[in-house]
Amino acid sequence: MISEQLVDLSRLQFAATALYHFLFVPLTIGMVWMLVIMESVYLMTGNVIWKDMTRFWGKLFGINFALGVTTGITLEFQFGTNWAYYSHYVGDIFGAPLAIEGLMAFFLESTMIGLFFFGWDRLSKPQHLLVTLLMAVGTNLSALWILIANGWMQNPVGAEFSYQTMRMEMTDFWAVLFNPDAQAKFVHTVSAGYATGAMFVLSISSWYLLKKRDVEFAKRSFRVAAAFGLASVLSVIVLGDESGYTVGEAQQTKLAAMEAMWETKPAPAGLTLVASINEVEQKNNWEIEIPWVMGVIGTRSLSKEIPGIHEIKAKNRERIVRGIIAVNALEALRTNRQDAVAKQVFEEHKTDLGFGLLLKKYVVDVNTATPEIIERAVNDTVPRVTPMFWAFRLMVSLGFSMLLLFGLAFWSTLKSACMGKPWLLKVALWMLPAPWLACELGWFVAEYGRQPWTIYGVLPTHLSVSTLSVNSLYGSLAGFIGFYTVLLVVEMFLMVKFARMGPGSLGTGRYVNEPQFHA
Amino acid sequence: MNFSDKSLLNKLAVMLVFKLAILVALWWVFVREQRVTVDDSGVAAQLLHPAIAATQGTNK
Repeated sequence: MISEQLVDLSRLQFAATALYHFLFVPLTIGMVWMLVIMESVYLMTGNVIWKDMTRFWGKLFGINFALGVTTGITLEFQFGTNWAYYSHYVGDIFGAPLAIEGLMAFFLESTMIGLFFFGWDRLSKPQHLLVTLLMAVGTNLSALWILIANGWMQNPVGAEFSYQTMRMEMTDFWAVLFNPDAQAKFVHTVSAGYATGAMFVLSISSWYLLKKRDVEFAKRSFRVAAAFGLASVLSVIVLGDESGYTVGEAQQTKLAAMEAMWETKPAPAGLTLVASINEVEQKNNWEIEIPWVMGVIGTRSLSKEIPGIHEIKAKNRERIVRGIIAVNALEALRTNRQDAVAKQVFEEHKTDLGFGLLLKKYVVDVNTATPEIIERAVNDTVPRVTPMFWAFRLMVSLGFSMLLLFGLAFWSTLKSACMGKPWLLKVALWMLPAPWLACELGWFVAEYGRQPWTIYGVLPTHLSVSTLSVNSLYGSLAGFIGFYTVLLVVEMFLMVKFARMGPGSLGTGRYVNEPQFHA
Repeated sequence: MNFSDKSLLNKLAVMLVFKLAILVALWWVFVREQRVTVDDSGVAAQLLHPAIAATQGTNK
């Protein structure tokens, strides 16, 4: 049997590196479009303050990019080192978008970043703006391909299992590309990145305004961040709703766990605002519900039911039993690939193969699975409800808090009154960590909610893991955590240092904190 | 490019070299010897007979 400790450590290592990686990513995704906006205004108006804004915020963007780059490569390495069986099983499909991301998007992004920083005196204004635009396109394309790969893990479309090669083989590239889960995830995730970039600029600009330094620079930055942030957070919320709908279509266990929906509720289902969750008795002790809303979000109708956890488990129990037949047929086919009967049986039951494989966590021979063992496998098919329920609500609360903040900030800039509202500036400053926290919670809900699968409904997590030694995993886990913590500390140090210096670090003679400045 | 830009560039260059060195070191110490064979037979063993795969998988 595969050691549970090995599986847990491999998961922890991937989760830790992914969460660290995503501290850098959303800021890159968001700030790059703000640079495009600022430089466009510079090109249109010729006002040099907009060039200074592009260069200063670009410098902070550059620090984040330089420290963040390679933090994601370790994730791709881990597919090979820690998840070798997963990589073989789904590499034909999963590898393609990752390769395209590296060859197309990352190279474009990296090349343009070099031109952005070293091209100010070598390129004309329109050429430099084009470079900035292409840098933004590259960054977003990078996110697109990564999320196509991730979307396929959530909703494996356009592929079929081959018993001869023991792997999933792509049958429809366009289905993988236009996977509704991937598309919904992409727009939701990049919008969250835009909100992160906007919050970063809004918070630091607020600090300058509170200190009454570089006021014209800060007011313009504040205005851009408020407008861009408001549009971004609205997009995050609207597109998050779309993401919720696709989850309801493809991953009912995840939706039921997010909503602590133990029983199937009559249509249209209500949205549970808060609840006292009792996982032992599999019920909510009490709950506060908004009628109809979940039905609209999850099904886009008022007449469709959303299945509860108990109903989903009952269906999964049937799939596990059918999956035993698929596993037996696969074993027969691996012994004799010409076995026509086994082939026919396998073709009829192969959609349940993954469910049969869930039993391999407890028994070597699935035919020896007792009703108790089948019940344990059934319980495994739904992730723990409490962390899902509260992580999702905390993420949504942060999203709406940011909507309120960006709304107020935008209103104050329309009235040219942000300087007169120090409380707003202070709130903007203290809200700086909010988008990062929301992003991390969002990824937690997406990936923890996918358990017990690496590929939803197809490949169980415990069978995906490489058979490494536990000691080596402890060592590499400690190494990764130490390494990423150093990167984070250096990032924070450089960001704080250059944010404190402000646009004076550009050495133009127009701002405070530089020798040439004359107030 | 002013002094603070050059100083920042130096720091970032050092960090990039540091990152590559650490990644290579981590791979060298913890991963290099840990080989797992993955072909169709290996995956069949992992999926259908995980007990056998668990004993065969390490240090190949």
